[in-house]
Amino acid sequence: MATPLEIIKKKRAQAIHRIIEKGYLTTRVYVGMATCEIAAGSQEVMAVFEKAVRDGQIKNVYLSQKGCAGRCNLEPMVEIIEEGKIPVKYQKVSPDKARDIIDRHLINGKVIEEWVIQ
Amino acid sequence: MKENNEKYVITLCYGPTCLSRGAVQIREALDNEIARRGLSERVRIALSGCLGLSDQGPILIVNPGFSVFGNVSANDIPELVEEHILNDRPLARLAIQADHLFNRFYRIFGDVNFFGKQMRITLRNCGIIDPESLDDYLSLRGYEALAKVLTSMSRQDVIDEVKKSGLRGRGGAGFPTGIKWDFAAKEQNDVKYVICNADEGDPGAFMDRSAIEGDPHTILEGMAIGGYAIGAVKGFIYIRAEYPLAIDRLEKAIADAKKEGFLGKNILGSDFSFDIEIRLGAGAFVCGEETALMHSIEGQRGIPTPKPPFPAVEGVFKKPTIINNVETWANIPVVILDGGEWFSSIGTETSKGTKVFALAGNVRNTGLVEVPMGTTLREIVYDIGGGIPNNKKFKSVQTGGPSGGCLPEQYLDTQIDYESLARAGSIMGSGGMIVVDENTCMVDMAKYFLEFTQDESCGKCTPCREGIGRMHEILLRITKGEGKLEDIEKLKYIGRLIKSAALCGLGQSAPNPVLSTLQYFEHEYIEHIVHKRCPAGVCSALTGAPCQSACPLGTEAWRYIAHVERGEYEKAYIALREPNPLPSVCARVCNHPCERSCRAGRGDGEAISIRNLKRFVTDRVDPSVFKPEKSILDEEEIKKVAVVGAGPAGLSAAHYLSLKGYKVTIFDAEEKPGGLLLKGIPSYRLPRDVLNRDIEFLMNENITFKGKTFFGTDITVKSLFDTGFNAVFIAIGSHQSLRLKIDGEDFEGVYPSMYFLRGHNLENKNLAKGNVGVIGGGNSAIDAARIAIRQEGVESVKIFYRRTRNEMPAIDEEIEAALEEGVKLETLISPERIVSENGRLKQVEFIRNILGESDKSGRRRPLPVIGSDHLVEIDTLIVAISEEPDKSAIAQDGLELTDWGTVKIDADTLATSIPGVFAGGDVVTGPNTVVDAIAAGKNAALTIERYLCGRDLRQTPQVNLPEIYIPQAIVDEEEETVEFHRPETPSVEVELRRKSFMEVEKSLSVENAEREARRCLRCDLEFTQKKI
Repeated sequence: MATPLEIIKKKRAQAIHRIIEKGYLTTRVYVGMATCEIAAGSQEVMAVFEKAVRDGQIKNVYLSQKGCAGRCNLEPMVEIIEEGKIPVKYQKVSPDKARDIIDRHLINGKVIEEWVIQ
Repeated sequence: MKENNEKYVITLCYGPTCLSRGAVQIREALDNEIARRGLSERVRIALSGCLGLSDQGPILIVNPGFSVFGNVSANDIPELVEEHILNDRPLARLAIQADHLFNRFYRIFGDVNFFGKQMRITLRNCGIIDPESLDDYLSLRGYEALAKVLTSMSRQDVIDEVKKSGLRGRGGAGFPTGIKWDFAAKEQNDVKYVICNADEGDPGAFMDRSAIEGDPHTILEGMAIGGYAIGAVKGFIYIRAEYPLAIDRLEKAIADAKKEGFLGKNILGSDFSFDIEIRLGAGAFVCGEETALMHSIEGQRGIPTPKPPFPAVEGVFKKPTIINNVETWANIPVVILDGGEWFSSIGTETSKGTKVFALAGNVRNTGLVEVPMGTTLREIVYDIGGGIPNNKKFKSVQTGGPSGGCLPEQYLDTQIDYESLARAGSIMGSGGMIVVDENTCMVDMAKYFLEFTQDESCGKCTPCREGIGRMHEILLRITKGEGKLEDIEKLKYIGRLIKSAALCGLGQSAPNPVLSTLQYFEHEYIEHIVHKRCPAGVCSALTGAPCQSACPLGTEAWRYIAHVERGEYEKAYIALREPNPLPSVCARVCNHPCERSCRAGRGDGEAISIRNLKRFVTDRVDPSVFKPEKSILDEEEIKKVAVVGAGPAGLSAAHYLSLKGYKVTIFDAEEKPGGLLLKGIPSYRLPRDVLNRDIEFLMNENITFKGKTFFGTDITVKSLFDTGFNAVFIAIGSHQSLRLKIDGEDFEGVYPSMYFLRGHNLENKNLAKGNVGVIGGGNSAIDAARIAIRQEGVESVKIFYRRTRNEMPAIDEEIEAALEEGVKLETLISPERIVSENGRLKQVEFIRNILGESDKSGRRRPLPVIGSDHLVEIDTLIVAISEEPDKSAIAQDGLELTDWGTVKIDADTLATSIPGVFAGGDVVTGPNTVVDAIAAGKNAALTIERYLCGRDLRQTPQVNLPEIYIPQAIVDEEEETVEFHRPETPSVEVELRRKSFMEVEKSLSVENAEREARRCLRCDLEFTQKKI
């Protein structure tokens, strides 16, 4: 019989496989969704991204939530990890800013420097 | 060998250091290698910002698997690709700590300023994974520690590993986790429990919530391992109902884990079964105490019971129980996977691993941070927290919430571990860390925490229930100005009593905030009690409007601001002139303590530009609109007072005494009155016509001025009394520059700053030539530098200061203006020796400094760097390190001096050791501000009047609260919604002013002044507005 370690290794391989299937290797967009982020308005921001994905405005994007990274005064945070590029973390994102990020960054490939956490 | 078909992402660090070490070449090599081997379908290259590992750069990370490689060169790439990608054998020789879970955060956290000094073990997945996805957790070696335990470790092995790690309870008390587990494991009982204490109640603390919300499975895994170790079958997570999202995520995590067989019966096919249940708390602080918490789980009232029996013996439902905090549990999987030995390599002698803190209060980067034990408070506050916003001064850091203590600046170098914090008078606590700046009242803060513990006391034991209440009453009294000096001893006594007699941790630690503030900030309590003042301008009953309370003259800044808003400039002038005989002077050179205290500027807000508004008013109104009331005395009541020194202190004393009807003679060594204002302050800051106008209007027929009269030679205390004066006020200032006490100070070309300033201001001498060096960091250093750069024949001006710019005592705007004008500033440097050629200065030998630990004042001491001495070519050296009073003037019979060579006085009455002789201003304090000198003169007038009338010199302190009601101006709605910012001080362009002595600053425009006045929060209205 398989040992627990063997079982877990198999489960991990399966999990990684599922994550990659979901598009992990494409552009990843993370929206912070802890209580603090939500209080700062991240649900509205998430909704903007979800709608953009639903409407087909952005394609090949792996959209996910994540917990709090600890940067309370800069929340809500949106992080974009793209192939071949330096990961970008946007601070204090509002729904309006989120729409701009979709337009300018995700569609037209231009990082909006003034909102990036340096 | 089986062929490896996995897909990979290689992340290459493109931070500055890695780039300088060849990251670009590595990228090319990677591209080539991947193309050559036809791997472009399987390998993707990503670039990242600095990953915080620069010292081992260039850094390269291969995912999945999170293998981190350091010191990589382009030549390593073929081997790396072949081994890792083709053979699935990560290249061991370049791997850095590749096995350790915590490394993962480098994967994406480029935000090095914030994360660089952190080490994320507990929070290793927080902010990285989707907390609601078990797959995400699994992909990061989730539940591998549990599997490892079940596969290859006995129960005792697990406990030994935890013991070896040195992990201590993160809930605050710091009991060794392994030992606790050992106790419970040794108990013979069929039923045992583990509990996760997630009842987080400290104000300002949110570590547990974030940890659960960001990575719930880690807690479950840790608890399952704990359950295995002690032989428990069930675990409880006790969490407050006010954390709904954390509860949701825990519930989902438990359900997912059960489905996949990580919880429940026969976990991962083993014979170990374990289940976890969530129990909600109603949010009582006392339920964070373990015995109370367990009662609450049992369904009883949450009140503590005495220990022993300890929970490990008889815990929840009377069964052996281990209870650990969220953070402790989150460490367990790391201890198991990375090993106790590795874990114990982090931290200090007695405290291992890392600690999470919820950093809050007056720091730039508030948030959740995790640092290795042994990190200093200074590193957290300044390096990670980014320091105090708004140029405010650090006052204290509070750790451990309502159970902890407040540590002052001189403890900033304390290393964080259980013992060091306890020695300093605080506690680690569960991780709340509140930083406060100068605008926080420590008495008020202690009161706040006591209010909290009083509310949260369960009431079971008398010391806690009654004692905290009494302490709170006393604090309340003190903050209202009704305190008595014996209250301090009473607080200490009751505090000690509660500490030793209360039943549980809540009560025993509740007095800590009071006791620690009494230890380090007793002077603030005394200020409240004796002088009826709240120095931080917080306690409302003692402060009124903070601007007024912070002004040494008690100027009602709110009042003239209100008039400016209404366009009533004359009324504004009267309001600002009444308390201050030198208003146009202060409008230009005051260091404006009112603005530091302004409520609009607290935290990271923008203080009202009060000095600029004063300038606006004084520029627009003729001084004659203010007609001071003058008393007329009977012939026999008229007394003669001698004021020695015609600086701001002397002038103000003479003015107010003259208004009382006394005959005042002002003596001064110079030809004209003004003192340091005339001799020291350059005319581009204070034009002489402005100064003269203020002086002209404060003079009257009761005042006579006698210039060119030297104190100590032409006149003495004795000769003044002999010639019929009834009282003497000494206010000769501090006009003697201190010497550096190094070789060569007397060569030609080296000038004491006062000599240089006086030469320029009074004698029109151009002493500065060529390359000018200025030693010092105070206002006279800046003045000297800014004068020098304007003088003909000067090529460059550089200020050398021994500490850093943050510690420079000069007014910040002045430093800024000097830099703008081209003055250079070199910090952390001290002169060692002056080298001459033909008796004239040629070079100065300097040595570099680093900042060491804080001295008693809280400032960090400069320490010389051995071997860093070097010569600098300098043609003129101005020594502006500090000033002291002229010794020859004040060395007079019977006049007692301090060790610092200043005149010794009674701080309340300004009385010197000779009856009838008073002193104030810089001659008492050493170099100080203009407004303090004016205040000293004003106080002298009051106390001298009392002396002349034969009354007791001491006055009962009074609280001055706003009294006059001034309605707010009516603003149309449209404008009201616009948000305005503090205007910049208008000034003459640098090119124009650099070579001239024209006044640099200009007046605000009417529009800007009214807008700025409108921004005022009008703290006065709380006291003056009629209650409707």
